[in-house]
Amino acid sequence: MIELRAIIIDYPGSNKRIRLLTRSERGDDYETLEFPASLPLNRGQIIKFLGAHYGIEPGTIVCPSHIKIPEE
Amino acid sequence: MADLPDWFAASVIKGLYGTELKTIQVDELGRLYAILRALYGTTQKDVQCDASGNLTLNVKAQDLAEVINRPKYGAHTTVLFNNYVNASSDTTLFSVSGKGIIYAMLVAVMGANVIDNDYVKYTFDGGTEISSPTILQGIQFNFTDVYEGDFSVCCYDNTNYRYAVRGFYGITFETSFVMKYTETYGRTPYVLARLFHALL
Repeated sequence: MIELRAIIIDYPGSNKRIRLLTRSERGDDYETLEFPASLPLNRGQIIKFLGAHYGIEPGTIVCPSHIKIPEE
Repeated sequence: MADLPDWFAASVIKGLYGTELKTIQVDELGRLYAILRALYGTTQKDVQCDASGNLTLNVKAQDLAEVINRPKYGAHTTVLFNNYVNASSDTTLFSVSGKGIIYAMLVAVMGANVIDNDYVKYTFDGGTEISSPTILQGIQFNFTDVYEGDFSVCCYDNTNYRYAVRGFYGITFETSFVMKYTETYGRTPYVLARLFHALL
């Protein structure tokens, strides 16, 4: 099971960067992934992206309710 | 050999309780369960579990020389902004959705003219957007202690038009954090912002 723990948006240069912070069921193995800027940032795309990255079913990805899509 | 199982016919396994033979039982799926028992002195006690079936461990009752624990720090994350900001408007420097704690924040501004009425805005956990004092107000009110409050001025140079503010040390958030730069002169200074925080 993979849990989304944060969505981070910043601007290290001229382009916007979107990163996803995940951790596994163990809870202490965090991983930061760069979300493709070409994809629309919404919950469905995030789950699809994480499912493809980890090779797991979308149903095994947990998105806690407090994780909202950050404002631009 | 007639009294031994032939491994093809159904057999009943029995065990000796003292001198009495008892039939060993299984559950409805045929699984053989064992009850764990441990010695308390010379008395046998059942090892018990909670309602979820988890065995519990009383760390304090163990004969340990020491117990080491630590708070959960979370994953370190740095967010950055290196760019020109928009004139006479707000520019989002960064936004985070998640739970975390801020360890340090720095916003450095480089302009071609005086821009000390600019300031930053921030929102924690989707609440009210807060405006910081302007850079000039930070100097006028002597907000210069780095570890005090949400905002302090650490560089104020009206000759070379270099300014910097820092703060937010130890502030936590449960759902989100957003920070913006507000430009008030109709100019487009270059802003370099850093936020060091840990996400849980």
